[in-house]
Amino acid sequence: MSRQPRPTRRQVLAGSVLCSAGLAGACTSGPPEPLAPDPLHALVSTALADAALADAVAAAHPPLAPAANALAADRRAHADALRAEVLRATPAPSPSSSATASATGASPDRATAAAALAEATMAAQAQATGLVTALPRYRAGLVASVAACCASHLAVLG
Amino acid sequence: MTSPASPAPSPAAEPDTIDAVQRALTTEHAVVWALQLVTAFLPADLGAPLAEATTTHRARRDTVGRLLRDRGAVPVTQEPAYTSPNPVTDQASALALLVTAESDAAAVWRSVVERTDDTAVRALALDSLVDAAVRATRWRRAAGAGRLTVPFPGAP
Repeated sequence: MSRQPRPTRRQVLAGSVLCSAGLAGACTSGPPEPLAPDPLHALVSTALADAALADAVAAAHPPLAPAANALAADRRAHADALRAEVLRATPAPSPSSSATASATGASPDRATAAAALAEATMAAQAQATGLVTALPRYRAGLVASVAACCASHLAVLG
Repeated sequence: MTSPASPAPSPAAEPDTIDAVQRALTTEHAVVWALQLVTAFLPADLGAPLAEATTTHRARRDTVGRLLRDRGAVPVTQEPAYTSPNPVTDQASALALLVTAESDAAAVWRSVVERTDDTAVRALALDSLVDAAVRATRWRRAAGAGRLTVPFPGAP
């Protein structure tokens, strides 16, 4: 610990108030910086990416279409519900809420495409499962259902 | 509202958590009863999944009973019989009852997820919800259903 003379608490507080005022002035042209990203944003992105992959697999491999189309529909429903919950919690628009999934291609090999879809669904289940314990109650229920839905698709795909 | 995650399972759970877990146990009793009821109506090739489902639900019933006792509650006991929404007379109605039973299980377990901050209870509820959703899908497939999944298993 330093023994040099230090500014008093009052001086520090005065300084921080000035800093804050300066920052606030500098920030008036834009929206305030969010403290932390909503953890559900990542689930929305994954759900949209999975839906896009499932669409591509269904289009490339008609025998996989029933399972892939069902997965795409459920994952889009997840994205909608999760996004609604994010907006309910934070009404201000956020970058991720308008993000669209990047274009996804399906492997020309049917087995590889099916495996990729199963792998993505397994990862989505793990992602949702990992959040359930720490989320507030209502969100935990929603995310638990997302995990359960992904698991039930795996039972079909696997 | 309490904090979303407690660091360790609380020995004395909140009353709404206990109530939700007791409702889940009641449903688990009913699922085990349904699994026994349908046995005579299902073909031999469904014997293995039926036995596996029965083992899983019985084990869960025991786990839930222990969990309740650990938290100072007396677990609800199994009734002699439960009511089936539709009479079970053949394979189709037997599989329909199993889909209903697993869907009921998914609903009560999601309800537990939403009524506890006890991490041990929430983890058990999540596992049980996932298992019920997967099993409902398998019974739908055995029944030849067109739609094998629902987007939000257990959602009210």
